[in-house]
Amino acid sequence: MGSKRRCLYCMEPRQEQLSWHGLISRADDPVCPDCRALFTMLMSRDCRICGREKDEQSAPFFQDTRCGDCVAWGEKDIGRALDHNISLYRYDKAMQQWMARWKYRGDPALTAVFQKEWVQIWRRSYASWKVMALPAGPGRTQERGFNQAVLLADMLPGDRLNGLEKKDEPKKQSKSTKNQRESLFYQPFYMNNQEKIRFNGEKILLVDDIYTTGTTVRKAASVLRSAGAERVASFTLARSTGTLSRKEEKAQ
Amino acid sequence: MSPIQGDADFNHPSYNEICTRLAGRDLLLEEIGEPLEVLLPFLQAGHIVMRPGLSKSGKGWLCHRCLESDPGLFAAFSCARCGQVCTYCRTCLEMGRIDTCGVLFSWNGRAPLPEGTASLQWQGELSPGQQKASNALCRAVADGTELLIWAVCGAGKTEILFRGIEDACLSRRRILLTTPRAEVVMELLPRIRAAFPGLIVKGLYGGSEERFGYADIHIATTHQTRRFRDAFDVVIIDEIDAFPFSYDPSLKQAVDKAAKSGAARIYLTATPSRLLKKQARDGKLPFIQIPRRYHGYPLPVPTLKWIGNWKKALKKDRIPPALLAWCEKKTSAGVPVFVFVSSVEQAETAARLLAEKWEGTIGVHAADPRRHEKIQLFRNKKAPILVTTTILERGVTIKGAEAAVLGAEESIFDEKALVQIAGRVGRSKDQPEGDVMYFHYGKTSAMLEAVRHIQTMNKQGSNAHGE
Ligand SMILES: [Zn+2]
Ligand SMILES: [Zn+2]
Ligand SMILES: [Zn+2]
Ligand SMILES: [Zn+2]
Repeated sequence: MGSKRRCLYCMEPRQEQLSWHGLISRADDPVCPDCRALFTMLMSRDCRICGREKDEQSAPFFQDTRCGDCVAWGEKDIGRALDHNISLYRYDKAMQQWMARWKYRGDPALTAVFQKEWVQIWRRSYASWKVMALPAGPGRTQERGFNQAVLLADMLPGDRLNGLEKKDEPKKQSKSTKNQRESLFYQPFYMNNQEKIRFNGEKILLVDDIYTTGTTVRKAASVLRSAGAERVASFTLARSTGTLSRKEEKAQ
Repeated sequence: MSPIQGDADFNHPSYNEICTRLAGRDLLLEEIGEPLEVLLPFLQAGHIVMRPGLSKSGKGWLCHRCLESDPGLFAAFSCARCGQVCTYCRTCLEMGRIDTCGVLFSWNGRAPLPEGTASLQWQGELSPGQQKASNALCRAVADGTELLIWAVCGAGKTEILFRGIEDACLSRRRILLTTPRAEVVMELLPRIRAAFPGLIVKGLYGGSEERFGYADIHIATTHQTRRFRDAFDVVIIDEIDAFPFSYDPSLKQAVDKAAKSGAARIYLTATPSRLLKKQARDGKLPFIQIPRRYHGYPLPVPTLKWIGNWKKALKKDRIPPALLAWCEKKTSAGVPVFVFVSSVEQAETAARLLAEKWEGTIGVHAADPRRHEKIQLFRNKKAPILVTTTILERGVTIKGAEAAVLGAEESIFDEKALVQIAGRVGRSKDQPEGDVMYFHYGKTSAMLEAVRHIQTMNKQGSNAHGE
């Protein structure tokens, strides 16, 4: 039996007749129009720093073009380590489901669903930046078989920057270790010093899957800045604002 | 190298535990839940065998768990476990990713000891048609042959199975009952358990907790049969004609893999495919037909009613008046109402509009994460109307319910689907009748064929009754 062309996401065989959908959909899209329509791209950059949308929940805390969180980050050294964040999609139900299959079920082929948009943004604004995937702990990467940030970074042309590492989280987390992990003073990132790497004058684009509070990328950014980087921005697939699901929390 | 130990002097404290966990299965190391050191003596003695998860086959790959071989359903990634580019199977991803560097473990020692006692506690009486089918089933189980049971919706399929299940379990044979939909698994589980309180009955569907361990009877969705290998002596396949079984050839292969060679195979359907009918007529497949419902009443014949451009009406937030009037008549008489629609969007719109008039009306569709819960609400009469896509056309039985199709001319409502929908109605002895309404904007041949199909079955049923 020959292989049918299928939607990369719902796996349904693609009907290639000139349906109305077929005419308006991208001919090279790896997913079908129904699946494509599930995801919502973030169009306005209401917060110039993190890309948060101005909605009922966040609007009262905005100061000009900065959201409440970013105003608060501006008062901390670690907060200022990150220049800005750019996210492509809203972290809504559809995106959560997609992430669950991509990351937790472990379907790395799904990375290609967002390849076109991902590369486009990079080409438009970040082609002169050095790309670095946000490292994951070695245990987590082994368990999953991949680091999702590497999958995203690998879609971008050019060389990767290395040298940053992340410690594994303690296996069983008591409340106090969890608090500690979330505290700004706990630093899971460190430089792989054997190579004595310096990033003097570099602009580094740190790639990760989700931007939630921005704490993780800022911790990484502060290590990179200490290693000489001039600017660090984060490039993430989704911007999460609401409360995290339990599963998500556990996995973070 | 350590010597290969014979079975007789192989004594391991965890033998029985590992045997029941692994027998008849293909499991990843993570799924066995024991570290490799514990399995090592079993591997050395040959009681556990390992096989690669995937292997090269022709130009592509073969997944040894689900037997997928369509190159479009494999993908490669740079694997952090082995440091190479690994390929994995996307068809059975739900059960944990299986990579080229992954290994499947299966049992090669003695068969697990049956734990339950088969003693049928069901007190009811079989109708003459059921009795005939039950006898044929017992013969097929004893001989390890195939049998097609072509039974009208509401013939009482579950009761037909009881005697055959008892026979099989008494002769220590393991049974798989597989059906395409999780709803049906959940409906069958309590009924089989009630009939055989002494047997261990496990249900497997996406999200069920009872994944591992021994059972005398497994009731599983067809997808879940991929977990098994050479496990069953009797395989009963419910709704053999239904999606996704007739649609996805890898599922058929998975069922073949789950069955031992020489297993009895029983196929159940109310609406056999053309191919099955032909095989039966040509004498290639033994079959038995039950054209009459167990209570002896005929199937309700659907009424076709033109309602004009209902899609336009829905767009303007209006339910066609004829459907409204029918719902009014039914709900005021306390009748639970099914409304079948052809898309998720319609299910949502229609449910919202109907809920304005009948509080508690629920919409449900295949991808609805709360669908089991919603169906339960309807079953418990907490919802007067259930608006649904075709997920519920098969298997789900709600006492006294009547059914309408909104937009019966939509292509998703083929003859089989329409017959199955009619089959939801009049299933109980106390309420053997009820309305089946096909509300449409233009008659289709599928609608006419469905009516003809039901009339033919009814005619055959009344002939059979006189014998
Ligand atoms: Zn799709
Ligand atoms: Zn912000
Ligand atoms: Zn597979
Ligand atoms: Zn590998």
